[in-house]
Amino acid sequence: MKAVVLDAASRGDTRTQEAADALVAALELRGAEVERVVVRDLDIRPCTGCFGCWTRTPGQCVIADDARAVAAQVVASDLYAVVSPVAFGSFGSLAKSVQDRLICLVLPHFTMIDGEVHHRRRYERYPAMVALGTMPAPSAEQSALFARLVERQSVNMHNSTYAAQTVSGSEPTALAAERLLDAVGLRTEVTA
Amino acid sequence: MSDAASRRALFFIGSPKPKGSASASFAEAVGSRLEAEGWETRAERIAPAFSDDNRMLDLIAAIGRADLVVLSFPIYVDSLPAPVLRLLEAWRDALADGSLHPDAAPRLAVLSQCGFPEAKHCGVAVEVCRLFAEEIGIEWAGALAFGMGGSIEGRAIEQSPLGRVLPEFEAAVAALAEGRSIPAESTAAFARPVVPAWGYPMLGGLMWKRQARKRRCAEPLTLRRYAQ
Repeated sequence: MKAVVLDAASRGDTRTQEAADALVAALELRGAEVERVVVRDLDIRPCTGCFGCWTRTPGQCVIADDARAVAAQVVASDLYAVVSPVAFGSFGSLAKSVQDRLICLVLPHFTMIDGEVHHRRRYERYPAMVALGTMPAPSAEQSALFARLVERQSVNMHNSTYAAQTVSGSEPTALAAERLLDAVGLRTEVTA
Repeated sequence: MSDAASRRALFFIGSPKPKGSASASFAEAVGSRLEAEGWETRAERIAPAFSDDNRMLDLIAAIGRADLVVLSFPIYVDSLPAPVLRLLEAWRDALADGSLHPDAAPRLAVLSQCGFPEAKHCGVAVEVCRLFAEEIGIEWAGALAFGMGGSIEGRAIEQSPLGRVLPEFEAAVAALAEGRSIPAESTAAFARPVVPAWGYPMLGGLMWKRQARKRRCAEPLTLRRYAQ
Protein backbone atom coordinates (compact mmCIF):
# COMPACT_ATOMS: atom_id res chain seq x y z
CA MET A 1 0.00 0.00 0.00
CA LYS A 2 1.29 3.44 -0.95
CA ALA A 3 0.62 6.31 1.44
CA VAL A 4 1.34 10.01 1.06
CA VAL A 5 1.53 11.99 4.30
CA LEU A 6 1.29 15.73 3.94
CA ASP A 7 3.16 17.21 6.91
CA ALA A 8 1.70 20.72 7.06
CA ALA A 9 3.32 21.86 10.29
CA SER A 10 4.83 25.30 10.12
CA ARG A 11 8.43 25.83 11.27
CA GLY A 12 8.61 25.50 15.03
CA ASP A 13 5.27 23.67 15.33
CA THR A 14 6.74 20.58 16.99
CA ARG A 15 3.35 19.31 18.10
CA THR A 16 2.08 18.90 14.52
CA GLN A 17 5.43 17.48 13.42
CA GLU A 18 5.14 14.94 16.23
CA ALA A 19 1.63 14.05 15.01
CA ALA A 20 3.02 13.51 11.50
CA ASP A 21 5.79 11.29 12.97
CA ALA A 22 3.14 9.24 14.78
CA LEU A 23 1.03 8.80 11.66
CA VAL A 24 4.03 7.78 9.54
CA ALA A 25 5.05 5.25 12.22
CA ALA A 26 1.51 3.82 12.43
CA LEU A 27 1.37 3.46 8.64
CA GLU A 28 4.77 1.76 8.49
CA LEU A 29 3.62 -0.63 11.22
CA ARG A 30 0.85 -1.63 8.82
CA GLY A 31 3.35 -2.28 6.07
CA ALA A 32 2.68 0.86 4.05
CA GLU A 33 5.24 2.41 1.75
CA VAL A 34 5.14 6.00 3.05
CA GLU A 35 6.14 9.22 1.29
CA ARG A 36 6.25 12.16 3.68
CA VAL A 37 5.72 15.49 1.98
CA VAL A 38 7.00 18.33 4.16
CA VAL A 39 4.99 21.28 2.89
CA ARG A 40 7.06 23.98 4.64
CA ASP A 41 10.12 22.90 2.61
CA LEU A 42 8.32 23.07 -0.75
CA ASP A 43 7.67 25.84 -3.24
CA ILE A 44 3.85 25.92 -3.28
CA ARG A 45 2.22 29.05 -4.61
CA PRO A 46 -1.44 29.77 -3.94
CA CYS A 47 -4.08 28.81 -6.50
CA THR A 48 -4.87 31.76 -8.76
CA GLY A 49 -8.39 30.62 -9.59
CA CYS A 50 -7.65 30.69 -13.35
CA PHE A 51 -9.12 27.20 -14.06
CA GLY A 52 -6.15 26.60 -16.37
CA CYS A 53 -5.87 23.08 -14.94
CA TRP A 54 -9.32 22.42 -16.42
CA THR A 55 -9.40 24.35 -19.68
CA ARG A 56 -5.80 25.18 -20.69
CA THR A 57 -3.61 22.21 -19.65
CA PRO A 58 -6.29 19.71 -18.58
CA GLY A 59 -5.28 17.71 -15.52
CA GLN A 60 -2.23 19.78 -14.60
CA CYS A 61 -1.91 23.15 -12.89
CA VAL A 62 -0.40 25.87 -15.07
CA ILE A 63 1.89 26.97 -12.19
CA ALA A 64 5.19 25.09 -12.45
CA ASP A 65 6.04 24.50 -8.80
CA ASP A 66 6.12 21.58 -6.35
CA ALA A 67 2.31 21.25 -6.23
CA ARG A 68 2.42 19.36 -9.54
CA ALA A 69 4.52 16.57 -8.03
CA VAL A 70 2.28 16.43 -4.96
CA ALA A 71 -0.82 16.05 -7.16
CA ALA A 72 0.85 13.16 -9.02
CA GLN A 73 1.81 11.51 -5.72
CA VAL A 74 -1.67 11.85 -4.26
CA VAL A 75 -3.52 10.32 -7.18
CA ALA A 76 -1.03 7.44 -7.39
CA SER A 77 -1.46 6.60 -3.69
CA ASP A 78 -3.86 4.34 -1.82
CA LEU A 79 -4.03 6.64 1.18
CA TYR A 80 -3.60 10.39 1.34
CA ALA A 81 -3.09 11.84 4.82
CA VAL A 82 -3.02 15.47 5.90
CA VAL A 83 -1.50 16.43 9.25
CA SER A 84 -2.13 20.06 10.07
CA PRO A 85 -2.85 22.47 12.87
CA VAL A 86 -6.59 23.14 13.07
CA ALA A 87 -7.36 26.78 12.34
CA PHE A 88 -10.88 27.65 13.55
CA GLY A 89 -12.13 24.23 12.48
CA SER A 90 -10.33 24.28 9.12
CA PHE A 91 -6.97 23.02 7.95
CA GLY A 92 -4.24 25.60 8.47
CA SER A 93 -3.19 27.80 5.55
CA LEU A 94 -0.12 25.69 4.74
CA ALA A 95 -2.15 22.50 4.21
CA LYS A 96 -4.85 24.45 2.41
CA SER A 97 -2.33 25.96 -0.02
CA VAL A 98 -1.66 22.40 -1.27
CA GLN A 99 -5.30 21.29 -1.22
CA ASP A 100 -6.36 24.29 -3.30
CA ARG A 101 -3.93 23.11 -5.98
CA LEU A 102 -5.38 19.60 -6.21
CA ILE A 103 -8.50 20.49 -8.17
CA CYS A 104 -6.66 19.33 -11.30
CA LEU A 105 -7.41 15.80 -10.05
CA VAL A 106 -11.13 16.17 -10.76
CA LEU A 107 -12.93 17.29 -13.90
CA PRO A 108 -14.52 20.70 -14.37
CA HIS A 109 -17.76 18.95 -15.40
CA PHE A 110 -20.48 18.46 -12.85
CA THR A 111 -22.45 15.51 -11.62
CA MET A 112 -25.04 14.89 -8.92
CA ILE A 113 -24.00 13.08 -5.74
CA ASP A 114 -26.68 12.54 -3.09
CA GLY A 115 -28.78 15.30 -4.63
CA GLU A 116 -25.95 17.87 -4.67
CA VAL A 117 -23.81 19.13 -7.52
CA HIS A 118 -20.13 18.12 -7.39
CA HIS A 119 -17.29 17.81 -9.87
CA ARG A 120 -16.96 14.61 -11.86
CA ARG A 121 -14.04 12.25 -11.28
CA ARG A 122 -11.06 12.49 -13.64
CA TYR A 123 -9.42 9.26 -12.53
CA GLU A 124 -10.79 5.78 -12.11
CA ARG A 125 -9.78 5.50 -8.49
CA TYR A 126 -8.90 7.88 -5.68
CA PRO A 127 -7.09 7.25 -2.40
CA ALA A 128 -8.67 7.09 1.02
CA MET A 129 -8.26 10.38 2.88
CA VAL A 130 -7.37 10.75 6.53
CA ALA A 131 -6.78 13.98 8.41
CA LEU A 132 -5.10 14.49 11.75
CA GLY A 133 -5.52 17.96 13.22
CA THR A 134 -3.70 19.42 16.19
CA MET A 135 -5.23 22.01 18.53
CA PRO A 136 -3.73 23.80 21.54
CA ALA A 137 -6.86 23.17 23.63
CA PRO A 138 -9.93 20.96 23.18
CA SER A 139 -12.83 22.45 21.27
CA ALA A 140 -15.79 20.21 20.46
CA GLU A 141 -17.08 22.76 17.92
CA GLN A 142 -13.77 22.97 16.06
CA SER A 143 -13.29 19.19 16.07
CA ALA A 144 -16.80 18.69 14.69
CA LEU A 145 -16.28 21.30 11.98
CA PHE A 146 -12.92 19.77 11.04
CA ALA A 147 -14.62 16.38 10.63
CA ARG A 148 -17.37 17.98 8.54
CA LEU A 149 -14.81 19.67 6.30
CA VAL A 150 -12.97 16.40 5.70
CA GLU A 151 -16.27 14.69 4.89
CA ARG A 152 -17.18 17.45 2.39
CA GLN A 153 -13.73 17.36 0.78
CA SER A 154 -13.80 13.59 0.45
CA VAL A 155 -17.09 13.82 -1.46
CA ASN A 156 -15.79 16.54 -3.79
CA MET A 157 -12.42 14.82 -4.31
CA HIS A 158 -13.97 11.33 -4.66
CA ASN A 159 -11.89 9.76 -1.90
CA SER A 160 -12.74 6.09 -1.51
CA THR A 161 -13.20 6.54 2.23
CA TYR A 162 -12.22 9.10 4.84
CA ALA A 163 -11.67 9.75 8.54
CA ALA A 164 -10.70 12.73 10.69
CA GLN A 165 -9.25 13.03 14.19
CA THR A 166 -8.10 15.95 16.29
CA VAL A 167 -5.64 15.93 19.19
CA SER A 168 -5.42 18.72 21.72
CA GLY A 169 -3.16 19.70 24.57
CA SER A 170 -0.84 16.87 25.51
CA GLU A 171 -3.10 14.05 24.25
CA PRO A 172 -0.96 11.25 22.79
CA THR A 173 -0.67 11.62 19.03
CA ALA A 174 0.15 7.93 18.57
CA LEU A 175 -3.25 6.90 19.88
CA ALA A 176 -5.00 9.38 17.57
CA ALA A 177 -3.02 8.06 14.59
CA GLU A 178 -4.01 4.49 15.44
CA ARG A 179 -7.69 5.43 15.75
CA LEU A 180 -7.57 7.27 12.44
CA LEU A 181 -6.17 4.32 10.53
CA ASP A 182 -8.53 1.90 12.27
CA ALA A 183 -11.40 4.10 11.13
CA VAL A 184 -10.51 3.58 7.47
CA GLY A 185 -10.05 -0.15 7.97
CA LEU A 186 -6.26 -0.21 8.20
CA ARG A 187 -5.79 -2.40 11.22
CA THR A 188 -2.51 -3.72 12.54
CA GLU A 189 -2.15 -7.38 11.75
CA VAL A 190 -2.03 -9.46 14.90
CA THR A 191 0.13 -12.57 14.62
CA ALA A 192 -0.12 -15.46 17.08
CA MET B 1 -9.93 50.82 17.39
CA SER B 2 -11.37 53.98 15.88
CA ASP B 3 -13.59 56.22 18.02
CA ALA B 4 -17.25 55.47 18.58
CA ALA B 5 -18.46 58.14 16.14
CA SER B 6 -16.40 56.84 13.23
CA ARG B 7 -17.71 54.34 10.77
CA ARG B 8 -14.96 52.66 8.83
CA ALA B 9 -15.42 49.46 6.88
CA LEU B 10 -12.51 47.38 5.65
CA PHE B 11 -13.19 44.90 2.85
CA PHE B 12 -10.80 42.02 2.37
CA ILE B 13 -11.08 40.54 -1.11
CA GLY B 14 -10.24 36.83 -0.94
CA SER B 15 -10.26 36.04 -4.64
CA PRO B 16 -6.75 35.78 -6.11
CA LYS B 17 -7.96 37.36 -9.36
CA PRO B 18 -6.44 40.84 -9.73
CA LYS B 19 -9.68 42.39 -10.98
CA GLY B 20 -13.23 41.62 -11.99
CA SER B 21 -13.76 38.82 -9.48
CA ALA B 22 -17.13 37.93 -8.02
CA SER B 23 -15.66 38.60 -4.56
CA ALA B 24 -14.71 42.14 -5.60
CA SER B 25 -18.10 42.78 -7.27
CA PHE B 26 -19.97 41.58 -4.19
CA ALA B 27 -17.80 43.69 -1.88
CA GLU B 28 -18.22 46.72 -4.14
CA ALA B 29 -22.01 46.37 -4.01
CA VAL B 30 -21.96 46.41 -0.21
CA GLY B 31 -19.24 49.07 0.03
CA SER B 32 -20.96 51.59 -2.25
CA ARG B 33 -24.14 51.33 -0.19
CA LEU B 34 -22.25 51.78 3.07
CA GLU B 35 -20.59 54.88 1.59
CA ALA B 36 -24.04 56.26 0.77
CA GLU B 37 -24.80 55.86 4.49
CA GLY B 38 -21.74 57.92 5.39
CA TRP B 39 -19.24 55.14 5.94
CA GLU B 40 -15.60 55.34 4.91
CA THR B 41 -14.62 52.20 3.05
CA ARG B 42 -11.34 50.62 2.01
CA ALA B 43 -10.81 47.43 0.02
CA GLU B 44 -7.66 45.29 0.11
CA ARG B 45 -6.77 42.16 -1.82
CA ILE B 46 -5.38 39.37 0.35
CA ALA B 47 -3.56 37.20 -2.21
CA PRO B 48 -0.51 39.49 -2.70
CA ALA B 49 0.15 39.26 1.07
CA PHE B 50 0.24 35.45 1.11
CA SER B 51 4.02 35.27 0.66
CA ASP B 52 4.88 38.82 1.67
CA ASP B 53 5.11 39.39 5.42
CA ASN B 54 5.30 43.18 5.10
CA ARG B 55 2.11 43.32 3.07
CA MET B 56 0.44 41.06 5.60
CA LEU B 57 1.52 43.42 8.41
CA ASP B 58 -0.07 46.31 6.49
CA LEU B 59 -3.35 44.40 6.26
CA ILE B 60 -3.26 43.62 9.97
CA ALA B 61 -2.53 47.28 10.79
CA ALA B 62 -5.57 48.30 8.73
CA ILE B 63 -7.77 46.08 10.92
CA GLY B 64 -6.79 48.26 13.87
CA ARG B 65 -8.52 51.23 12.22
CA ALA B 66 -11.74 49.48 11.21
CA ASP B 67 -15.15 49.25 12.87
CA LEU B 68 -16.38 46.60 10.46
CA VAL B 69 -14.32 44.02 8.57
CA VAL B 70 -15.99 42.27 5.65
CA LEU B 71 -14.36 39.15 4.21
CA SER B 72 -15.44 38.50 0.63
CA PHE B 73 -14.16 35.25 -0.81
CA PRO B 74 -14.89 32.30 -3.12
CA ILE B 75 -15.01 28.72 -1.85
CA TYR B 76 -11.92 26.67 -2.65
CA VAL B 77 -12.09 22.94 -1.91
CA ASP B 78 -14.93 23.34 0.59
CA SER B 79 -13.29 26.04 2.68
CA LEU B 80 -11.60 29.43 2.52
CA PRO B 81 -8.80 29.93 -0.02
CA ALA B 82 -5.37 29.48 1.61
CA PRO B 83 -4.49 33.22 1.57
CA VAL B 84 -7.70 34.07 3.47
CA LEU B 85 -6.86 31.47 6.10
CA ARG B 86 -3.35 32.94 6.28
CA LEU B 87 -4.87 36.37 7.01
CA LEU B 88 -7.04 34.96 9.82
CA GLU B 89 -4.01 33.18 11.31
CA ALA B 90 -1.96 36.38 11.12
CA TRP B 91 -4.80 38.38 12.73
CA ARG B 92 -5.03 35.86 15.61
CA ASP B 93 -1.23 35.84 16.04
CA ALA B 94 -1.04 39.65 16.00
CA LEU B 95 -3.54 39.83 18.85
CA ALA B 96 -1.60 37.15 20.75
CA ASP B 97 1.80 38.83 20.41
CA GLY B 98 0.45 42.32 21.05
CA SER B 99 1.27 43.76 17.63
CA LEU B 100 -2.47 44.37 17.21
CA HIS B 101 -4.03 46.12 20.20
CA PRO B 102 -6.80 44.09 21.88
CA ASP B 103 -9.10 47.12 21.56
CA ALA B 104 -8.99 46.53 17.81
CA ALA B 105 -12.24 44.59 17.78
CA PRO B 106 -14.20 45.33 14.61
CA ARG B 107 -17.35 43.39 13.83
CA LEU B 108 -16.84 40.66 11.24
CA ALA B 109 -19.19 39.90 8.34
CA VAL B 110 -18.74 37.46 5.47
CA LEU B 111 -19.73 37.52 1.79
CA SER B 112 -19.09 34.15 0.19
CA GLN B 113 -19.91 32.41 -3.07
CA CYS B 114 -19.15 29.11 -4.73
CA GLY B 115 -19.22 27.70 -8.26
CA PHE B 116 -21.99 25.22 -7.50
CA PRO B 117 -25.67 26.18 -7.57
CA GLU B 118 -26.15 25.33 -3.88
CA ALA B 119 -25.01 27.80 -1.21
CA LYS B 120 -24.65 24.79 1.09
CA HIS B 121 -21.11 24.37 -0.23
CA CYS B 122 -20.22 27.65 1.55
CA GLY B 123 -21.44 26.33 4.91
CA VAL B 124 -18.13 25.10 6.32
CA ALA B 125 -16.25 28.27 5.36
CA VAL B 126 -18.86 30.54 6.94
CA GLU B 127 -18.75 28.48 10.11
CA VAL B 128 -14.92 28.70 10.13
CA CYS B 129 -15.23 32.49 10.07
CA ARG B 130 -17.79 32.47 12.87
CA LEU B 131 -15.52 30.30 15.02
CA PHE B 132 -12.63 32.62 14.21
CA ALA B 133 -14.64 35.61 15.49
CA GLU B 134 -15.53 33.66 18.61
CA GLU B 135 -11.92 32.62 19.22
CA ILE B 136 -10.49 36.13 19.01
CA GLY B 137 -13.46 37.68 20.83
CA ILE B 138 -14.99 39.93 18.18
CA GLU B 139 -18.63 40.32 17.24
CA TRP B 140 -19.94 38.08 14.47
CA ALA B 141 -22.16 40.11 12.13
CA GLY B 142 -23.35 37.22 9.95
CA ALA B 143 -22.94 36.13 6.36
CA LEU B 144 -24.44 36.23 2.89
CA ALA B 145 -23.52 33.15 0.87
CA PHE B 146 -24.79 32.06 -2.53
CA GLY B 147 -24.15 29.64 -5.38
CA MET B 148 -23.17 30.34 -9.01
CA GLY B 149 -20.79 33.05 -7.84
CA GLY B 150 -19.46 33.61 -11.35
CA SER B 151 -22.80 35.11 -12.30
CA ILE B 152 -21.91 38.42 -10.60
CA GLU B 153 -18.34 38.70 -11.86
CA GLY B 154 -17.79 42.27 -12.96
CA ARG B 155 -21.50 43.09 -12.82
CA ALA B 156 -23.66 45.35 -10.72
CA ILE B 157 -25.79 43.31 -8.39
CA GLU B 158 -29.00 44.67 -9.94
CA GLN B 159 -27.96 43.25 -13.32
CA SER B 160 -27.02 39.86 -11.91
CA PRO B 161 -29.21 36.94 -10.81
CA LEU B 162 -28.93 38.40 -7.31
CA GLY B 163 -31.27 41.13 -8.51
CA ARG B 164 -34.04 38.74 -7.43
CA VAL B 165 -33.06 39.20 -3.78
CA LEU B 166 -32.38 42.93 -3.91
CA PRO B 167 -34.73 43.81 -0.99
CA GLU B 168 -33.03 41.24 1.24
CA PHE B 169 -29.64 42.53 0.11
CA GLU B 170 -30.58 46.14 0.96
CA ALA B 171 -31.86 44.93 4.36
CA ALA B 172 -28.54 43.17 5.02
CA VAL B 173 -26.49 46.26 4.18
CA ALA B 174 -28.81 48.49 6.23
CA ALA B 175 -28.30 46.17 9.21
CA LEU B 176 -24.52 46.33 8.86
CA ALA B 177 -24.65 50.11 8.51
CA GLU B 178 -26.66 50.41 11.70
CA GLY B 179 -24.36 48.13 13.69
CA ARG B 180 -26.66 45.11 13.59
CA SER B 181 -26.06 41.62 12.24
CA ILE B 182 -27.20 40.47 8.80
CA PRO B 183 -30.82 39.33 9.22
CA ALA B 184 -31.47 35.60 8.98
CA GLU B 185 -34.09 36.34 6.26
CA SER B 186 -31.39 37.87 4.05
CA THR B 187 -29.06 34.91 4.59
CA ALA B 188 -31.87 32.50 3.72
CA ALA B 189 -32.90 34.44 0.59
CA PHE B 190 -29.34 34.40 -0.77
CA ALA B 191 -29.10 30.66 -0.16
CA ARG B 192 -31.97 29.88 -2.55
CA PRO B 193 -30.52 28.45 -5.81
CA VAL B 194 -30.80 30.52 -8.99
CA VAL B 195 -31.28 27.41 -11.14
CA PRO B 196 -32.42 23.95 -10.13
CA ALA B 197 -29.45 21.76 -9.27
CA TRP B 198 -30.49 19.03 -11.74
CA GLY B 199 -30.02 21.38 -14.71
CA TYR B 200 -26.59 22.58 -13.67
CA PRO B 201 -24.40 19.68 -14.86
CA MET B 202 -25.47 20.23 -18.48
CA LEU B 203 -25.20 24.02 -18.24
CA GLY B 204 -21.77 23.79 -16.60
CA GLY B 205 -20.49 21.28 -19.15
CA LEU B 206 -21.28 23.66 -22.01
CA MET B 207 -19.61 26.54 -20.17
CA TRP B 208 -16.33 24.63 -19.67
CA LYS B 209 -16.27 23.51 -23.31
CA ARG B 210 -16.74 27.09 -24.43
CA GLN B 211 -13.96 28.32 -22.16
CA ALA B 212 -11.57 25.60 -23.42
CA ARG B 213 -12.30 26.57 -27.05
CA LYS B 214 -11.67 30.23 -26.25
CA ARG B 215 -8.32 29.28 -24.74
CA ARG B 216 -7.47 27.15 -27.79
CA CYS B 217 -7.04 24.04 -25.65
CA ALA B 218 -6.07 21.20 -28.00
CA GLU B 219 -6.21 18.39 -25.44
CA PRO B 220 -9.30 16.58 -24.17
CA LEU B 221 -10.57 18.09 -20.93
CA THR B 222 -10.77 14.58 -19.49
CA LEU B 223 -7.05 13.90 -19.95
CA ARG B 224 -5.46 11.75 -17.22
CA ARG B 225 -2.10 13.42 -16.81
CA TYR B 226 -0.71 11.31 -13.98
CA ALA B 227 -0.05 7.56 -13.77
CA GLN B 228 -1.94 5.41 -11.30
